[in-house]
Amino acid sequence: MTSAETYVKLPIHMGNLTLQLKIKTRLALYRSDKGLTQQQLADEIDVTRATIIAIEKENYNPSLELTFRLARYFKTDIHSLFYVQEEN
Amino acid sequence: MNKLNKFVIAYLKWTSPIALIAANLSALGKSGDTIFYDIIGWVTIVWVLLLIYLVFALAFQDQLRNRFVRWIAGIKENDERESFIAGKASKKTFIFMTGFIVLLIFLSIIRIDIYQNKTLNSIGKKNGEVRLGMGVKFMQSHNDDDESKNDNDKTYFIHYKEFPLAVDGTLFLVGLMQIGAFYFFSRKEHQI
Repeated sequence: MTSAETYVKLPIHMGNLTLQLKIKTRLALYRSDKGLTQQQLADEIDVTRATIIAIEKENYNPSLELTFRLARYFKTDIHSLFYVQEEN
Repeated sequence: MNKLNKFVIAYLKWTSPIALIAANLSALGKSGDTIFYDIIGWVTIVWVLLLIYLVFALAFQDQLRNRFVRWIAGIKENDERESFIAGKASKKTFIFMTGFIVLLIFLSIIRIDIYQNKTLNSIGKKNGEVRLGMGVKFMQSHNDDDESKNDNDKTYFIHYKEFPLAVDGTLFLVGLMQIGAFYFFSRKEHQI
């Protein structure tokens, strides 16, 4: 387990079973489809390039507001950009 | 930042070489009646007065303090992730510094003496003594005499009383540790 994973794992207790939910993203795919660099996307969304890198590497979970801003920018819904991966 | 503060900072910045020259001349014991010394003297007096103003302004003016401390500690909050990192680093710095201050308090109140007392009646051929103590002092006392200083009958192996740093040295240490800890923790968080 990397240190990055500990950042985004959300434990959910369901009886005896503990599920680890990991937030995954397709942001890099959406960005490259649009032919944008990380800096260009950062400027469009009004964040730093380091934040775009951290989101793409799944090291940082963006706030709900930033998630909606990204979804609106790519004209999609948040479930297409971000999804949850369950791990036992 | 208001115009007065801008002027004060600019003055302190640009005339600091003159203040340094004045300090060096004073240390070397050089003085004279020429206009050169007059100008240097007045510039330095104004420099010191404005420095006093700036220190008080930093303590009481929220905007100036915010700007200065952000600059000196390298706090960046350009977006939500940087704010998040600054928050996490602040929490870690607070916890680390609280622990460090507790250590400093302990070191300044504890007293440990381990010695051999030559005049003490030996019990079973033992004349060594261990003394442990604690004392809290809220005000600095200048005529605080150490009773063990003139004690020729005792051979000390360990004699620890109070934290060895002076008040200003301790304050410098705490200030530097605080800024250094924030730098360290925020850089560490940035790497994640």
